[in-house]
Amino acid sequence: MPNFLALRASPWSDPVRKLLTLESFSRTEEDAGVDIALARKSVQDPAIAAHFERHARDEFKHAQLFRARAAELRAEGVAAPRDGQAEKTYDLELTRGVSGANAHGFLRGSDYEEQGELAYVAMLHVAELRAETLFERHMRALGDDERTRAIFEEILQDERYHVAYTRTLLTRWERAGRGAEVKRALSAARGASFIGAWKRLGAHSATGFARVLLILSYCTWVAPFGLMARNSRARTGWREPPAARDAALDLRAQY
Amino acid sequence: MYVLGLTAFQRDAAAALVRDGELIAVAPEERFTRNRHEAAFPRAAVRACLARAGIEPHQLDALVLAEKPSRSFERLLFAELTRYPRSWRTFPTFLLSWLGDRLWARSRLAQEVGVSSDRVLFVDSQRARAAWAFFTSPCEQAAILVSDDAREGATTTLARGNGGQIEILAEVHDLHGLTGLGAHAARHLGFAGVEDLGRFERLADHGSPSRRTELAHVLAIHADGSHAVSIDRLADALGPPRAAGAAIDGAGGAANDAGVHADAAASVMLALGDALLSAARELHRRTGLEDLCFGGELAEMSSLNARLLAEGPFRRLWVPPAPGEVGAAAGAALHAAHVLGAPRARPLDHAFLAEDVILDHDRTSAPVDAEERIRRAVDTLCAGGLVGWMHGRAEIGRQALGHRSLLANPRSADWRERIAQTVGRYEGGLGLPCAVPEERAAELFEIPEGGRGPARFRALRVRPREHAREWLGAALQPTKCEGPFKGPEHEATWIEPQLVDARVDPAFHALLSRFGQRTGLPVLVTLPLCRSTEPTVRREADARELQRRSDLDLLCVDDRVHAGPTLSSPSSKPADSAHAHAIHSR
Repeated sequence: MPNFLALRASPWSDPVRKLLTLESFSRTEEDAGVDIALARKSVQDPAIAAHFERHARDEFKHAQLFRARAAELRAEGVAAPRDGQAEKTYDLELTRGVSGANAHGFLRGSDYEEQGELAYVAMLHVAELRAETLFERHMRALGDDERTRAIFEEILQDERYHVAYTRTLLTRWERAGRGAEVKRALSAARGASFIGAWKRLGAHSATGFARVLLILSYCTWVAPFGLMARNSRARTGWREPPAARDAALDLRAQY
Repeated sequence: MYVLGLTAFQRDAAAALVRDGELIAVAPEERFTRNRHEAAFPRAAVRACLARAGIEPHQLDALVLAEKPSRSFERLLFAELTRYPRSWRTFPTFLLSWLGDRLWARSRLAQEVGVSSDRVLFVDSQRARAAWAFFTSPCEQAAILVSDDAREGATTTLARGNGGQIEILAEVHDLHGLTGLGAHAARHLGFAGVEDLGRFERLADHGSPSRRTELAHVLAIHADGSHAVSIDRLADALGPPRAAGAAIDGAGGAANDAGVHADAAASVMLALGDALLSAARELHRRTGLEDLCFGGELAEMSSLNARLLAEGPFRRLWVPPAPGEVGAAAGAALHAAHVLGAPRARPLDHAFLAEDVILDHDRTSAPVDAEERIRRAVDTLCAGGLVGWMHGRAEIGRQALGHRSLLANPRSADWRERIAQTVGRYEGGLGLPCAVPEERAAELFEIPEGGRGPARFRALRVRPREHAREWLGAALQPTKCEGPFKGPEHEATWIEPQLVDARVDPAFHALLSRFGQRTGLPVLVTLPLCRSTEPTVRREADARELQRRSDLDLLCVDDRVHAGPTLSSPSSKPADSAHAHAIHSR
C-alpha cells in the first residue's frame, strides 16, 4: 500500500513542481558526477578507479535523463514557476549543507584525499543506499507518468550496481582486517545523514518562523518607512554618477 | 592572468573567461541545462570555461560578478516599500531570499566556484554591459549607450569610452526603465516578458502605432533627452490584454487592419525608439563623437538599432552579439582584467565563443570532405529542402550566425511553413532573417556604411535594393505567419542580413557563395538550429533528435552528413524537380 504521507508530500502531482524537481535532480546528479570524477583522479587502485569512472559516467547519464524529461515537459507547455511554487519543490540542492556533502551525501571530490578511500567509499555506499530508497519511493508516487517511471527504472538499475560495488569494496576491506575502520566509517556516514535531516528540519522551521517575524515587522515598524517611500517623489532626469572611486577598490566593493 | 566573469541569480546566467585580456570562452548556462533563459547558478558554464583553458578554479586570478549585490538589494527594498501595503506578500519572500543567500554573494560565489573569497570582485551591471559594447568594438573612442533592466538602479546609461577607460557621464534611475516597459508590455500581450522581446518586436511589424499618444502618459520623454516610466498606467494605454497562448486579436479597426494587439506593440516600439533617440542625441551633445556603441537588452532589437542609425546623430553604430546578460558576464571579465593590468581586448570579429560541437561516439556515417558536404547542402537547398548546419564553436546570443543554423532557400515557396514544422513555431514577422557574403551585401541590400558592425551579428534591419526584391521573389511574397500571429497578409518589408566574412567563417562563406553560383542569389534564410522552446542545440545527438522529429532534410555536423527521411522518401515534393532528381539519383 502506498505511503499516504509520502504521496501527499510528493511533487509529482503538480506539473510545475514535477518540472522543478526533475531539474533539481538533474543538477544534483551532475554535481555528484563531477565529485566522483574528481575523486577518480586521486585513486591509485585500478579496480576502484574503474568503478569510479563508471559511477561518474552513470551520474552524468542520470543528469541527462532528468534534464531531457524536464525539457519535454517544458515543450509540452509546463510554465516557469510563479512565486512560492519553487519552495514546494523537492529541491535536493536546498538540502545541501552537511560537511560539504550534497543531498545524496556526496562529498566534494577534493575531500577524497583528506578522508581516504575507505571513508569515501563508505560515504558513497550510504549515499547510494539512500538514493535507491528515495528513488523507489518517488517512483511509487509517480502516478501514471510512464515516461518518468522508465527513467527512474533505468537509474535504479545503476544505483543497485553502485550499492553493490561499494559493498564489495567494504567487504574486501573488512576481510583484510579493517572491520573496525569500516564500521566507524559507515556510522560516521549514517550519522552525517541523520544530522543533515535534523538540520533540514531546523532550516524549514526557521524559514517559517522568519516569515512570520517578517510579516509582523512589515505590519509594525516597517509601516512608517513604507508610507514615506510611497509618498516620496521619484527623482527624474539625468543623474550624475557618484564621484569615481579608485577602480581596483571599486571592483572589491559589493556596494 | 585568468579572469572569470559571471552573471548569476537571474535569467540567462552565464560565464565568460578572459586570459591576459583576451576573451577565450563564453558559456550561457541554458545550453547545458537545455532550459531557455536558465537562471540557476552557472556551474556547468563555469566548468566549460575552465575546461576550454585547461585550468582548475584555484588558478583563477579573479572571479567577477556583473552586479553590485548590495546596491541591487537597496533598490529592490525601496521598490518593495513604495508598494506598501500591497507588497505584504512579496516583502517576506524578497527579504528571505536576499538575506538568506544573495546578499552574501562573495562567499557563495567563492564556495560555488572553488576560489578564495578575496578573489571575488563585482562590476556594476550597466558598466559591465558598457564594457562589453565598447571593448568588443573597433573604436578607440566612442560614445556608449546602455539600456537594460534596473539592477542597481540605473536603467539607461550614457558613457564615453576612450582606449581602455570607460567614463560614466549620466544615468537615468527608474524602477522599470525602457526594458521594463517593453517587458511589461510584452506580458500584457501574452508573452513571457524580457525573454520574449524578440517576438514582441515581430508582432509590432503587423501593427501601426495608433496608441502612441496614450503611451505619452506611460513614457515621458524630457527635453534633456532623459525619460521616466510610469508602469501603473500601461494597461490603460495598451488596451485589451491578451492571455498567453491566445490568438492575436485581428479584428481591430487600426489603419492597416492589423489588430489591436499588434497596434499596441507597434506603439510601444515607437515609444522605445523615440526615448532611445532622445538619449542618443543627448549623448552626442555631451561627447561630440561619431561612433556609438549600444549595449543592453534593447540592443537585441534590430528595428531599434536601425532607427538609432537612420535617425540618430551618430555616423557609425556598433552592437555586440548577446548584448544583454550573457554579454555582461564577458564585459565584467574584460573590465576587471583591464583594471588588473591586462591590455584591452582585440575587436570582436565573430561570435563563435561558446562550446565546440559534441560529436556522437558511435560514428554511423563516414566522414565527408568539405567540398562534398557543401555540394550536398546546396543540392538540398536548391530542391527546396531544409539544412541543419552545425560546425565549430557555437555562436553566443540568440541569433543564428552560421555555426548552429537552420538554413532554407528564400526562393522556395513554402520555406516559412517548413521551418514552422521543424522548429515548432515560426513568427518571423514581416522580415527575412538571412546570411549573405559580406562582399555581395551592398549590391543586394541598402546597408548604411555605419551599420556594417551590427550587420555582422544580424542586429540591423535594412531594405532590399529594387533588383534584389525581384530576385528574392517568393521570400518577400505576402504571407500569413504561423503561431498566434494571424494578421492579414503582408509583404516582407525588411531584411535582417548577416554579413559573412570569408576570413572569419570560410565554410559558411563557401556554402553561400556556391549557392549563389548555382541560383544567382547568395542569400540563405538562417534561423537558430533548435525547437522554438529550447536553446540552440549543443550536441550532435540533439541535432539528430531534432532531425528525427521534424522536416529537416539534411544535417551537416562538422565532417558528418545525415540525410533526413524526406530526402530518402520517393513521395517528397521538392520545389525544383531537376534538383530533386539530382538528390534522389545520388
